[in-house]
Amino acid sequence: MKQFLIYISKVIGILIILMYGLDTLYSYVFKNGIPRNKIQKILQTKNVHYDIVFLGSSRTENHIDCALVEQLTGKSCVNFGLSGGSIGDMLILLTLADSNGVTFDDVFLQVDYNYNSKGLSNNFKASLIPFIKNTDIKKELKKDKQNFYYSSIPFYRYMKYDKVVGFRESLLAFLGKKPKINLEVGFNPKVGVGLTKSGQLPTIYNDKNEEIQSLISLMKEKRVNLKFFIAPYCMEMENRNRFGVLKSRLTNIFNYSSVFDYKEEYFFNCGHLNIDGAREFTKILIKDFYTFKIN
Amino acid sequence: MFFNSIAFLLFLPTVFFLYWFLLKRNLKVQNILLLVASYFFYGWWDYRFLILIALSTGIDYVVGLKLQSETVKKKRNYLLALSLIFNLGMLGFFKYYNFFVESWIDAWAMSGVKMHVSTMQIVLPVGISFYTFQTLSYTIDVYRKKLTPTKNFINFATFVAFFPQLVAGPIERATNLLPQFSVKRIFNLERAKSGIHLIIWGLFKKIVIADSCATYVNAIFDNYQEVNTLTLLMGAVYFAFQIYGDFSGYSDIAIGTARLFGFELMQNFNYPYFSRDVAEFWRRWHISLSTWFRDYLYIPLGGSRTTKNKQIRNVFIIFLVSGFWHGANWTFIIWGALHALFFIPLLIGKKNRKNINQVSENGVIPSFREFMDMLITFTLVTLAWVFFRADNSTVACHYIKRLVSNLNFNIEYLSIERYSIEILVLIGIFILFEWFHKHVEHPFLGRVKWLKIVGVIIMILTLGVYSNHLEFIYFQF
Repeated sequence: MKQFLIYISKVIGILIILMYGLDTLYSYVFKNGIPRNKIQKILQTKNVHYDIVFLGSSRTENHIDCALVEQLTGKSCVNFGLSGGSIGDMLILLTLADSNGVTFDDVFLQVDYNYNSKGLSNNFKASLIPFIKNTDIKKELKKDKQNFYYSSIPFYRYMKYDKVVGFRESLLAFLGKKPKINLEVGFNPKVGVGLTKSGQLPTIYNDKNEEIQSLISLMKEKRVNLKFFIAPYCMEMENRNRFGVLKSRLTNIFNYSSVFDYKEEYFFNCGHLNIDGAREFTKILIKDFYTFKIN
Repeated sequence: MFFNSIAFLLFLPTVFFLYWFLLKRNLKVQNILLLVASYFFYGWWDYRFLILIALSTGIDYVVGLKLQSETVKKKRNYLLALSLIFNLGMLGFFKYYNFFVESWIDAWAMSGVKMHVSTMQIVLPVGISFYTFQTLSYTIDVYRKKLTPTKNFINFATFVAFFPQLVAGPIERATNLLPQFSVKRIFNLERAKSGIHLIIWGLFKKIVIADSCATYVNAIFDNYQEVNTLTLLMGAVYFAFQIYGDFSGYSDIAIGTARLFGFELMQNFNYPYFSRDVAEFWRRWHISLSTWFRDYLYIPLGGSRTTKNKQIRNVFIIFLVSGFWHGANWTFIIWGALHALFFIPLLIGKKNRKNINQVSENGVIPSFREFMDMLITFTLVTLAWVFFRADNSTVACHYIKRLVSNLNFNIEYLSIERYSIEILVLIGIFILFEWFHKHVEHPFLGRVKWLKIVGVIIMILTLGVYSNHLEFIYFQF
């Protein structure tokens, strides 16, 4: 039995050493490899100024073509929208950008049913994992106590979030393979026209969203213009008319939810435009706030 | 409780410590510990269903003892019938009730009669097909006077509920496992080490091979109408490796865990994808189930010692029942029927026992003939797996139809943001690993044993799928 316990100890010892080694290796690769998602991009971007920044979920990431914005207005633009991203994610994102000396003039935050959500999305948390030692990130992740302590076990964090920061991503980062999205502008369009279009939005909205309030305070402090917008939905989306409630919650919100009614060819599905719709929407939105450099 | 869970990671060392350190001097107490641990293991999933295991245990224990003392044939038949009715009735109710009701309604609907018979929301108790068959084998063996029934209730109850193989086999025979509970266990270093090796290898098969394949399989089968021939082909091949990695991985962990407690379970898989014909495949795939059907169904029906026509009938029965054992869905029955169709030409040509030995027994590289035989067998088996995996038979037929008609072989980018052929390299490495170790039960042998262990642990850590916890497929059966 004694020999068996020695044997087991050896196996466990190997396991621990490997977990420490792999954790160090992965962390090094994610910190020093090329950025493959927007969080990595922001963490590696220092002392840059953007004229216009777009924040939101896939309904921003898929909808705002920043290259087109730059072309039309001559202003620098970046789309920080994240598929599945929450308002909490956007708050952290801006905080991280700010602590890296990134500055901006105008920020557009997409708000719709996400007004009712709270906290960080799973994908966002996963993307933060390699940077857990960063004080700001640590503070955020610590809020989810159980998750945080698990994440402190060497390499466990990379195993738990293997889809986002697993072997495949670390290998691609190590090999310097660029992601499909152009991270310089952040636009990730959908292609094709969807056949089935339906959906349902909430009928009730919370009185307050604390993360938006924090964002408003942060932007005020930094003297940045913050505007809210509702991106287009297809006509079949139920409860679009309830967005009026949001107007009473956020004064400078601009509602584009019905801007493409009877324009089915612009939709990939009910909540997402395709590339043609996205470009058209980008033009409409920009025209409302900026003067076109070219017509 | 799942083998690939944190709970099991704590459960196993605790039971091991109590078993070998605190209770090693008392066999009876060791067995009681195993029984309690087994019930705890099962109850972790759903304690309410422990009553079914307890009832099955109680009835078969009593029936076994009565069968020994009873000499009147008619009464012995009644006793056997009691066990069969209870066990198969329980299985039938939990597993097949809704299937029969729905099929009954569908059959009448085809003739224009609309029926409104309600089905029930029945939860299928995990592992019911496994422990039911295990306890049935005991009663049948006692009935056939091949086995003397045990008077020790604790031993019998532990035999039925033994946690390493309770929920997904191997389906043990009382003749093999039950006597082991009566013998004092002495800790054997080499056996325990081989147990650890099997657990590591089983985890690799499950977490790395099966779960990686599952990610692709789900994406491909969910969108089979939109992908091309190459992707559909990949989907079928990946499923073949998913189910193999999943089930044989579970069996390895089960056998390995049992060894840690001094028990030897039967081999359940023997490199089935290196089979040269379907008959050989069935001697290597889910061995505990195929031999169960052979001994308790095929042979009583006359087996191969009867006319050719009856042999063919028997083969069909055994494969259809085998398919139906897997679940209440026509897809499983068609899967069984396909295997029967693949098997029958071998039976008619008297070639079903042609390939008894291991392929390339004396060489490293298979001959061209052997390679082609393996490829053809794998293709047939994979074709049948499409029915096994599909949600219903219509989907399976459409899947195959598109596979042979689309004929586009471009590499596609799937909805999971991976290229369709990305894990072929991993599968290739796995096949080579298995090929070079096909004469042994796990690869951790020889001079570079530690190197292999380190390599496999690295692969488990880095290539394993953890974010999307997947249960073992055979738990649903």
